[in-house]
Amino acid sequence: MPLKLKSNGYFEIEYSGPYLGLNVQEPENLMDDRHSPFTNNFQFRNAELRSRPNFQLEFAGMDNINQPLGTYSFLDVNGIQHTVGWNSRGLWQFAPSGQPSGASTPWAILGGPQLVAGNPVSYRAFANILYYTNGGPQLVSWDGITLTPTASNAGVANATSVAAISVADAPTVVPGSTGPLSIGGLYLGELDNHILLANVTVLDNGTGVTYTFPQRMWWSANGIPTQWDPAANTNAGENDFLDVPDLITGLITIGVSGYLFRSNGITFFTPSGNGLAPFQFDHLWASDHGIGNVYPWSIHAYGSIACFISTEQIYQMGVSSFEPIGGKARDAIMADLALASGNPVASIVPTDGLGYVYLTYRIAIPLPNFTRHYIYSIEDKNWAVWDTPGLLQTGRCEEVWTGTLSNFGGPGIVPPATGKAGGGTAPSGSGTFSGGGGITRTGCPMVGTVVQGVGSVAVWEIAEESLWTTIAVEAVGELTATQNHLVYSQRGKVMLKDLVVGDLLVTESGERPVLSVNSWEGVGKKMCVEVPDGHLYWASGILSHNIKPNIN
Amino acid sequence: MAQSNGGVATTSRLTLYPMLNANTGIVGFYAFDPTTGFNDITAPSTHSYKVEEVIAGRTPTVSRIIIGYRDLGPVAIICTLSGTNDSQQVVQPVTQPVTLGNQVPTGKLMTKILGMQLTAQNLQFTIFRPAGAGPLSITKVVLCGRVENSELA
Repeated sequence: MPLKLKSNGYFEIEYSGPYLGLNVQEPENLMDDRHSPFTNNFQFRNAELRSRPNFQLEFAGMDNINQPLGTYSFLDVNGIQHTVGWNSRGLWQFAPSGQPSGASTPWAILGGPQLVAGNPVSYRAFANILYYTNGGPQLVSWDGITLTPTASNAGVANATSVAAISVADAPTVVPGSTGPLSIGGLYLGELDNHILLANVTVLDNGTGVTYTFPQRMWWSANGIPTQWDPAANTNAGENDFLDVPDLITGLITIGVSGYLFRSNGITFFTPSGNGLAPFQFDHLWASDHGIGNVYPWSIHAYGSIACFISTEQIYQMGVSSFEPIGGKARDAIMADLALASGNPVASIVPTDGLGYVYLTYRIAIPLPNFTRHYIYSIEDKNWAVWDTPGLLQTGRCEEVWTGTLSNFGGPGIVPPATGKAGGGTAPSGSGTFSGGGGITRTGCPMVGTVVQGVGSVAVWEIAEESLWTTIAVEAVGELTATQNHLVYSQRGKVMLKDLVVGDLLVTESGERPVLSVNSWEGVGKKMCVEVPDGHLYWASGILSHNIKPNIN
Repeated sequence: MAQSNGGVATTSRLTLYPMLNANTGIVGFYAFDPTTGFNDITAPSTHSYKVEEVIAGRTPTVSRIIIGYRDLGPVAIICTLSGTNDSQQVVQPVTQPVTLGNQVPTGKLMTKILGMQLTAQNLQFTIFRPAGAGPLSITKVVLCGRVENSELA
């Protein structure tokens, strides 16, 4: 128990880790003291309550227009690692040694067929070759050697997919078609040397007709990822699950077994050892409603574990285990999933960076103007909540090689905290500074405001300004500053012009409500304040921040 | 064997997030990058501990708060102590800005004692780290105070 109470009434209440994470399903006074009734942007790793790592832009998108759909690293036959990414224009390669000639990003396009915009890519490396698909009628491969990916089949003329059926066999395999057939799907996997496609789409290149088989799994012949024709090789084949009321929403393989997910069920399959019917399928349950995978890209596997989201719970599976992991955070996760503005995606992430292990299952929920990340620590079994304001996640996160040198600190405090916003430097106690780092230091309080730095000395320059906001705050008084001056409220960091009456501001007297907000125009002088460490200062007793994004 | 087309050095790994900037439409790959430390400059951090009754129906007074933390460098945080009273009202919270850590991070465990005082039932302690205010790593929080403890019946 955290409470120590002496007979004279003296008490101590101690909070320490290891933490149990977010809890929204018990009254705040009844929960374990290691639970958090509210938490945002903290991590609970290693029994410390630590602000999360900085979320920063590492690399530009491929073309700054089309949304990236995923990224992945694989090893080619020469032992060379390749980091690739996708957008709707196709496959791109990451080139860290220098930007490709004429490009504005570190990505160079490899090409391949256009992909379905908005669908995360499903990918798999098999025998040192990358295979991928994302819902269109093509399975594409790249070996890391050729200049472009392969979306054809040497044995099937005029096919536009590695998975293809010849003209001769097309009417047999898909009745009514003329062929050649190009096969793709939403989900890709591998088991027992078979490449697997699930929720299948087939293009009849002869007629231009597209067939969809949302209840089908299709597999290649054993060890021959270019052979998908059961009429030519009986070890290739397909199976339709027409006895179930829903669609395939995911596919994973763990150890020697595979799992096909539907919205309301899971089908278990294992290699049968029979060349004519290489897989044995068993529905884990056959009810109309049951545990399944309701968010197609929530399912992800790492080694011997996998996680997915069902209608009523989040689950973790192992080779011989199946357990709910939503815990006391489940209701919050489900409530946010119900509000998602796009495809929720999830991944099991072993590390944030080389040498920084944080084995977690991460659910990213795009909301109207930010992404909420629910982070489940598989080791500590707790949930944290991280928000990335202004940014929407468009594909799975993935740990990849980036080929740039890391810069870690000493053991035990890896890594040291060195983050400084903006890159500006200020000579201590002087009256000037130089900004930089891509952030414009505009705004700040009107000349005459009492300013005091938090943690270090505040310095400033004087400049002209014409857009002002004056606020009145209970027990503090008035503050006049530029309209983009940032203060801290119960809503976080807010521009002065965006405050509303009743907002609670952090002041030297505690949290105090805003009594009035008045924006106006008039030429005057502002104090462009810089606080080198921490960037916080008091302006007329109101907590303020010295970095202002340029709102012009 | 044919030469590889490009490739990357296996000296650095990051978990990359494909992201779309909802305001500008610009896309990019982001990371929760531990190599740049734990001072997130884009989002504030908030954590509330459980609500404490101490003894049901009694009104305790907290007079000291002890914060144990790991020194990752300077960080400015705002500590808030809130509660309710016998009149079924929320009492005025006590808020105190606090600066922790050294200019040169030591990685050592440090202790800070705060003289925050609040008399209220259903006490709750909250830590708020503004965006860009520095890296924070709390190892322990202790609320110290007194409560009237004679028997009610």
